[in-house]
Amino acid sequence: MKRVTRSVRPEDLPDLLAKPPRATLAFVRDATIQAIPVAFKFDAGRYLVGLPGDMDPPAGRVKLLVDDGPWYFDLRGFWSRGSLAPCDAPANAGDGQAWFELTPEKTAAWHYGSMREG
Amino acid sequence: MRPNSRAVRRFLERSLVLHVATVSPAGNPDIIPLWFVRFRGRIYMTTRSENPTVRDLLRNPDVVLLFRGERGTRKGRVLRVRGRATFRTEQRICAPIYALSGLRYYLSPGGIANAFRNRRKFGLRAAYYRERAGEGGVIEVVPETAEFLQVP
Repeated sequence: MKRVTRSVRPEDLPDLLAKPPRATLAFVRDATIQAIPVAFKFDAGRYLVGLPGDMDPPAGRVKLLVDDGPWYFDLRGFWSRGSLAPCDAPANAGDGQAWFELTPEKTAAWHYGSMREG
Repeated sequence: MRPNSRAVRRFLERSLVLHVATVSPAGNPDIIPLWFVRFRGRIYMTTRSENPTVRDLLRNPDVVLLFRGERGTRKGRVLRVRGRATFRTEQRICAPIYALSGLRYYLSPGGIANAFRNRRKFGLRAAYYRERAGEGGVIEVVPETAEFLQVP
């Protein structure tokens, strides 16, 4: 029996990837949950995350959440769990940020407006 | 900053979606977006018991909430709230939260316009929720600290 799904692929959300209104990085430090707003760039299939330049980058697993839309059928986004590695700043990046590439272990994307029997 | 200060309350009124971060039982970070309402000094999100975030907070109630103030004119700030969360299923708690959420997200001008544009999908939406497991309820967060951050 088919189930209704709102799952999509991140590549199905090109305008969100190009201009993400909300991007947050979650990580655990000293056994305590942390969450900070981050800059995000999708660059040729790579997830690039900009952190404040004066911050100690998180070690271990992180989870990135990028999403958009306040109203039900506009809700869309993706999360990706993985680890961060330093990288060069992407083109048009702002000043004062340190950039990292997220190597995904698992990613999920959704769009309630694309709800369908899957 | 006090979580019940005027600046915090105003920023919450201007925010429509929060990001809630938790620690999984395996010690990994989790984060999801949810709708929310503020009621009697606490922050509530409607969800189901099978939501992984509920599973997380039953083991470790420490949560971080991030708000963007989407409806405000001043961009570039994020409100971060730390607090302790519980999952509530009592009708006396859930009923007012469901009502406030309905008013805010379905019966507001934006919510009505969105529903009208997507009225042909209502059947799918109903089927989607029928298929989801778990008891309905609300995540209740008692805020402990609040601070404003700059968006990088």
